Amino acid sequence: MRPNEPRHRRASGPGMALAVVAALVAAFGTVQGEPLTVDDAIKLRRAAFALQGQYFGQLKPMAAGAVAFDTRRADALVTRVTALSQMAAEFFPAGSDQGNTKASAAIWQRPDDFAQRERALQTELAALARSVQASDENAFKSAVATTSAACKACHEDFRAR
Amino acid sequence: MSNPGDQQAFDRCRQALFGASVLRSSLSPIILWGRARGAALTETPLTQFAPDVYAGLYAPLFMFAGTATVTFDEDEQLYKAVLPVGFRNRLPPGQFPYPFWHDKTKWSSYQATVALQFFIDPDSDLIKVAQFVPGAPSPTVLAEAMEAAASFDGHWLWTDGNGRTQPQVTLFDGLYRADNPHVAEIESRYRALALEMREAECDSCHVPGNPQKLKRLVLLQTPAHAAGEIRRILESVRNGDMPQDDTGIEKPLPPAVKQRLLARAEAFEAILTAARDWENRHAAE
Repeated sequence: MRPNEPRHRRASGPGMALAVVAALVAAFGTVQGEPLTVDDAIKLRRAAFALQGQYFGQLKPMAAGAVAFDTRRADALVTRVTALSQMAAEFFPAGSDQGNTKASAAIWQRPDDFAQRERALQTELAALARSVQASDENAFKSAVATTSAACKACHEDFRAR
Repeated sequence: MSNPGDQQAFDRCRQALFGASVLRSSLSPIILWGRARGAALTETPLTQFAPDVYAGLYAPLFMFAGTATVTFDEDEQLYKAVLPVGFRNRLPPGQFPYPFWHDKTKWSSYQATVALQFFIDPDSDLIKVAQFVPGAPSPTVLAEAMEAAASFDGHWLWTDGNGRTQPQVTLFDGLYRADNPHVAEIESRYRALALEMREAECDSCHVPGNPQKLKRLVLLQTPAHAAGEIRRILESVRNGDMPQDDTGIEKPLPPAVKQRLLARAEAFEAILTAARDWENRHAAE
């Protein structure tokens, strides 16, 4: 392991993603193997977005210099946000613009544009992860800003006001 | 067309369009406005305006040739009306809704405008999007734009040498009758609201510089702009939809800040309502 490589990395990636999915499914009482209802899908993606917001929000003070840049903590947070963002993208079945959601009907009217926004976010998150793994604080600050912008661009187009 | 510095022609145009005009009654409740950039409307940055604001502040800045062509835009699935125009670029600074010259590209584009295009919803027959279409700016226009951009001091509202708040067009000057007893208080209540909006960081997004690079900007930096949006301000703050953080997610205001902001916004809305009601009661005089 390189000196700056976060020690917990073996616990991240697909294993962690599955653990988070399992926790979310357990929390919302859906049964493994049964098709999700629209309401379940809305609950799950809302939970995934809420967690993304919580974890990404912890990166911002580091980017702003309010707390010290901690590569180990940042790497854990970025890994979680990346996994959660990929999960959330899977819970947009047709008809789930109706209900307790701010998802705009534009998601289903312009699916290619929505998918493009999702890809843009993944690109920014990958750059963010690289900046953390390289312990490059300036690149990290820049990547947090561009990731925020990617979030905002999607919210502006596809989140109802 | 008149001279681009003809104040009387501009005033007559404003009053006609702001009143019971065909244009005003043909505008969607929220109209999108901005520069035509040759891209799809969904990908084009545009500013959201209430019909009052567009009809009273922006549309009159153009001199219309009196002709139009209408086609159906297959890509947008909207009718497109193109009206040849010229821009009134020689008016005093206070006749523009804000200093367009804060940005040299914006100012040179406005000055080089050759047409307006209105995108009309075939179902409602209402104009959803209005854009100005720049032609090729002349070297003179570009040089003036660069000079003007360099001189912009960062203030969207300012006080002139006579102690008057500018831009005076944003104080409903010329749109409401001079003897309307409520107009004088609009500015003071707006300033009280503006202080609270600054506390709530509204001015970190809702200003012409568009610091957050929003694709659908809402402007609140003058009395007229805030007046057009006052109901949406109240609703979004009451519901906790505003302000938002830099990812576009709601960021709750401290309760005391929220309470003061709502109180000032309600006071501003009350004086606007009183002023409009007075105009309606005295319209026949």
